[in-house]
Amino acid sequence: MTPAKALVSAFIVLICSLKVSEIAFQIESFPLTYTGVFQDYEPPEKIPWTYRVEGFRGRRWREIHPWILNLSPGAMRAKLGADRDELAERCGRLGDTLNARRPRKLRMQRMRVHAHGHARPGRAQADQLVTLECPLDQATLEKP
Amino acid sequence: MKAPLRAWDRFWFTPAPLADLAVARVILVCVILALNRMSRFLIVGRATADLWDPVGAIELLGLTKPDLATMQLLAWVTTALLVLAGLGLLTRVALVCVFPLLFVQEALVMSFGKASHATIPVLYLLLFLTIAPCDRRLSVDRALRQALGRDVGANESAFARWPIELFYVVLSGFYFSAGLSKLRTSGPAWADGNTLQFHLLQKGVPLGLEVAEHLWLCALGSAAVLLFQLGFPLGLAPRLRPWFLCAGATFHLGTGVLMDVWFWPLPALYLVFVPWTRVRSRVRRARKAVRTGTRPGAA
Repeated sequence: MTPAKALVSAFIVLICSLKVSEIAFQIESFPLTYTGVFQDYEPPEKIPWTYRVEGFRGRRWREIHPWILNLSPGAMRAKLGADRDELAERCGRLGDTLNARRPRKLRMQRMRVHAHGHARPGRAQADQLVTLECPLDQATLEKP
Repeated sequence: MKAPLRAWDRFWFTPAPLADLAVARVILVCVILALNRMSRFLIVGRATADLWDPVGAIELLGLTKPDLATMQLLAWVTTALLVLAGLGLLTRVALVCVFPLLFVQEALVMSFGKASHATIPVLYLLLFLTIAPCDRRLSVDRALRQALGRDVGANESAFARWPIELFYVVLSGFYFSAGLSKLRTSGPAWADGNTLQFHLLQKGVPLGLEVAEHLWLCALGSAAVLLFQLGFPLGLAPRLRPWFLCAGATFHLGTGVLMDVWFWPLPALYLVFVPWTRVRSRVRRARKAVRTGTRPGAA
């Protein structure tokens, strides 16, 4: 084996070892990933929830799309979290983030999140609709 | 040379066409340019500091959140280097410079709480091509060498095969670990259809909602996903590879159409596994046969 081949071989072994380590130790730290996506079991009784965030400004409610916050839909969902007990608070934090970078007259006076629980087909469940008011930081809201 | 070493040498270093490696370079550059579109990383400059949650690599490098002007400059430099790499002008220099730039920008964009797994294999392929002789064909560099009367070398190289094979290993790890994490976390019950139904309902794509109505269809889809992900490494055997690549393309199309989860850079990069030189010579033979009225392959 030539020295060049030996060097490339060492590199190949290094990359393969990295991949094996990722899988064996479930490492999730960029650039290492074990691609753990959709891996949790979702039992039939668990209802999937979707969220729509709205902000109140200029006498009307406006939908806060993820791109307004410079987030992807997935990233916004991650920021809102899966725990509905913390949903209002987390949504409020997103509102504070939005208000912090806007001039005073463009800030959201109020924020709310509509949570929609989708009933599983074929099960005795009904769709659930919940609207929560998101607490906003008054200091951020009134900052000049 | 002992047998395992010979097998190793045969697998990674059997001479392969340099043109195929050059096509892989062009495909990769096109995929990255289409993915980035000058604007993908600008989100880093625009986002507010409180959303900033730096990944380990960024902390290790001691970088802070860059401003928009810095990200715009990086986007211009990255695009220019990619265009050079695609054209094959100062190819190796462009690749050596663009890899760390893209690595850092990927790490920055992932520092906002959401991992984008699909772009990581793209970085691996870029690294492999940076090391490999991907500039010896289909490049301005080669044309210049030829114009200056310098030797442009043979059509094949012992170093033209390993980047493509190693990229398949990376993809195998990517899919296999995705499948294994499902089994580790949830066991075989993951494939009973309830999990897929949950995600289809949550994504709310019309066609996905239709599928979610039928639990048996969700179970069938889940089992197919597990089989594909856990079986993908079998494609290291060249004869099985086309089947797993077709399954992969179907899988990505499925997640796109049913869940609006588009991991398109990955199936687009499957094109690097096409033996382009062989395809070209077959097309040429077929054309010649049509012109001369003989059956292709007839002696």
